[in-house]
Amino acid sequence: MNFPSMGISTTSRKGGQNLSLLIVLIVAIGLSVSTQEFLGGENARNLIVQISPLLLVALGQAVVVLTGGLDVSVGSLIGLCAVIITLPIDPTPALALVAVAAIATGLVNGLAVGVLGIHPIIATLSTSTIFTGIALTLRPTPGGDVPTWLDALVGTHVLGLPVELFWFISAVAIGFTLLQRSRLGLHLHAIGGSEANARLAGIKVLRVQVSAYVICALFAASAGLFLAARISDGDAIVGLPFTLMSITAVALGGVQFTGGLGSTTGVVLGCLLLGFLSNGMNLLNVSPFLQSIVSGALLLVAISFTRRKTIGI
Amino acid sequence: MIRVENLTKSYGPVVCLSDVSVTCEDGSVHALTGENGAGKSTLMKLIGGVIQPNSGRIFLDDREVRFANPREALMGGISTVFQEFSLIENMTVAESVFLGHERANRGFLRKSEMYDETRKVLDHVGLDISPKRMISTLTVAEQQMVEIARGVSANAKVFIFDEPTAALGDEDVRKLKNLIRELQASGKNIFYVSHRLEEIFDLCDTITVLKDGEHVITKPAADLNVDSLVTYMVGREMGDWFPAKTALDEDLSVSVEDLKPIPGAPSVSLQVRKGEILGLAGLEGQGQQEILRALAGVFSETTGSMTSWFGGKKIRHKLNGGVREQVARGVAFVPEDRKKEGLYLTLPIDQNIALGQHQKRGIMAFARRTRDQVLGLMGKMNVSAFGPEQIVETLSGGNQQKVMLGRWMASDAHVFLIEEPTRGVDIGAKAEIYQLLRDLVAGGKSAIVLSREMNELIGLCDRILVVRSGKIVAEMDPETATEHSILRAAIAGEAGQEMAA
Repeated sequence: MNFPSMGISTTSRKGGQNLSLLIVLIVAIGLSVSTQEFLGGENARNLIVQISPLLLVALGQAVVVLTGGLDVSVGSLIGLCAVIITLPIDPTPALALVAVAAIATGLVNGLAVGVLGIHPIIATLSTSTIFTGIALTLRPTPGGDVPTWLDALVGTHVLGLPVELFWFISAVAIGFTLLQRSRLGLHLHAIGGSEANARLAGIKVLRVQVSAYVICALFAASAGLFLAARISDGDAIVGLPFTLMSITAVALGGVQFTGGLGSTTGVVLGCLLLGFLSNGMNLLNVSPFLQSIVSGALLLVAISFTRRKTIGI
Repeated sequence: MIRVENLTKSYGPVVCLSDVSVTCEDGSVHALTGENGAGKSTLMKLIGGVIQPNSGRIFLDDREVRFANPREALMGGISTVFQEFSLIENMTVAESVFLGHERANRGFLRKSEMYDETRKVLDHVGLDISPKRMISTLTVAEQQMVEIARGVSANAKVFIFDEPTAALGDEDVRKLKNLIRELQASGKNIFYVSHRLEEIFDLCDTITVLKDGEHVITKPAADLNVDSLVTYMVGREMGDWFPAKTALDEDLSVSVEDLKPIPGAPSVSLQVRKGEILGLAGLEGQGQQEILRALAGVFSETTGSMTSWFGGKKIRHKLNGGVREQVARGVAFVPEDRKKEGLYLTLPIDQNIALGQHQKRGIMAFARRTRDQVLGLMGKMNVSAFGPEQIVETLSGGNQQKVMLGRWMASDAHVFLIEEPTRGVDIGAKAEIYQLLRDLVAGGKSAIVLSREMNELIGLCDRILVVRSGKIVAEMDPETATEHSILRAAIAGEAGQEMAA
């Protein structure tokens, strides 16, 4: 809570969301001026479709980051879930299997961090490798069919609006309720603020930590379903870029990697910013390779704004 | 009424509290006092549920209670205002008051209800701030009030204050005292841990003195005065395991003028003669550590001058240039926490000692073979280890300290700054370390030693300076000084000087 000049307020625990808002506005204005398509309705629809899965993953990621952790297994889990839902079995058991995979992932990650005391990056990197392995074993090359009920949840319109908008709004509502309104949310923040003092206050730290990783995994699993539906097949590695993207979005949204400071609004802004940038670079015909350089640089800049030394990233 | 019976707490062989029984009546403010390390805080942590006793029982209103953590204790009626605050910086005031027992419907917080109740409790303790303020924006005094509000909100019966005035200004101390008197008037049981005697006599009706983890006396405050209380706090024979003091050289080894460890600190001057061991005494946190560390070059904003003489040369020191600068000029610093700040625990003995020699050499210089020299030193210091290759972490506390000192014996330092030379060291090893320190200053060198143990300073040092609030308030000759007179000077400030005689 040391950088008031960088937009990280000391009077609330919203992290650096005001700074993020400022940057989002600047980028949006810049893009509206430099391209003609940016402000169009078609582009807005594209943007929502593009960032919805990222938003799902990033909200989950933020829950873990608020406790002072990090989950780099989200990308692999997305792929695994996309593969499971397209397996040639009944849709209902497939969906149940996705849920089981997500909960199991969260449990393993949370227990590895909370009980075994493994650094979150190492713990989740290990599980990440395992899931990608399982997903590729189940489906070495992309394929399979998406259940029809899931197909209907992506790419259609409801009340004249793209259905993705409803994914977007529900995700934000769930994130907001969890973090700002629930007891669990308060405990997540408390642990991020000081694990030792949270324990003194009688908070069951391990239970909250494990819950954070489970929630994060469930968010990632829903992103997996969304992506499977959008590309209409199961691809074991479809989610991998989302690991770094979700971390970048969370950082850009002003969530502090030491834990305890950050907000749902910030995460939404972080996702919007990433969406704007990739959308804008597409409109401006910037090569995808250059885009990758820009994303990496962005993460570095965003991370350098957070107090990270105490957790070693 | 709260009653503890035969509480004992030990960590391995180290006994922190031994068979202590205390009773605090309703509407009583009960002082717990004693020297540093007497076991006051341990006793309060046991009652407050922070740690659990090895044996003994706690009764609240004649019902036996056991608490696994402070939250359980609070719900059971015992509220502790910790010396190190237990609040979390990113919580609001209301959240802090309710953390661990939030008002909620099926997991959803009833925020406005918590705000309303917090406002009432804050009114009650006389704190005029919004319940929505973040803890990080509050002053220390306000945070302390929030901790008390937490206890009031949980309707606690017992309030424990652990050195509550340590970080407060006069006005806040006055407010706190009023609040404590109000709690007392409403029939609460209050424990007041402190070594500030004037506060104790002002506030408390009953006084319990602890010494080395044991119960000394419990008496009504009216039956005691400052003198009798200090006698109870000290009351122990000094061990005679100290080496003989040698005659001092007339020549100065170190001269320090107008030292201000950090900006705004009072200025301090002192001299140490060749062959002298100078002791710094004082109650915890009175600035003696800052003085020593400033001389070691730890603080970047230190001002003042330091000069030393060794081997016929006069050396001018740079105090704000970092520890390296001071090491280069022959100053050795042995920090209090050797595990965190001094030793390389995972390296073997020989490499730890050899570091002393290499500290002054360039990064590309070849490391000399040092095994013979280290073996010689280990023999001289009587380090119990199977060889120079033993990893330091596996040594006992006393042997670790010897390795630490050995590092500086192997270097050519001539001014030694040593914090708590025998912390965590058993009696036998203590005597050896005292002898080592004497050997260290032979041949025109000198040492400044900081210790919480007054009798250690009396036995070891040639001269003792007593520090209070960053100033040297008394100079004492160990021949005539007693634990009593040092403690008196450390507590009573300037007035202590007359006690020196």
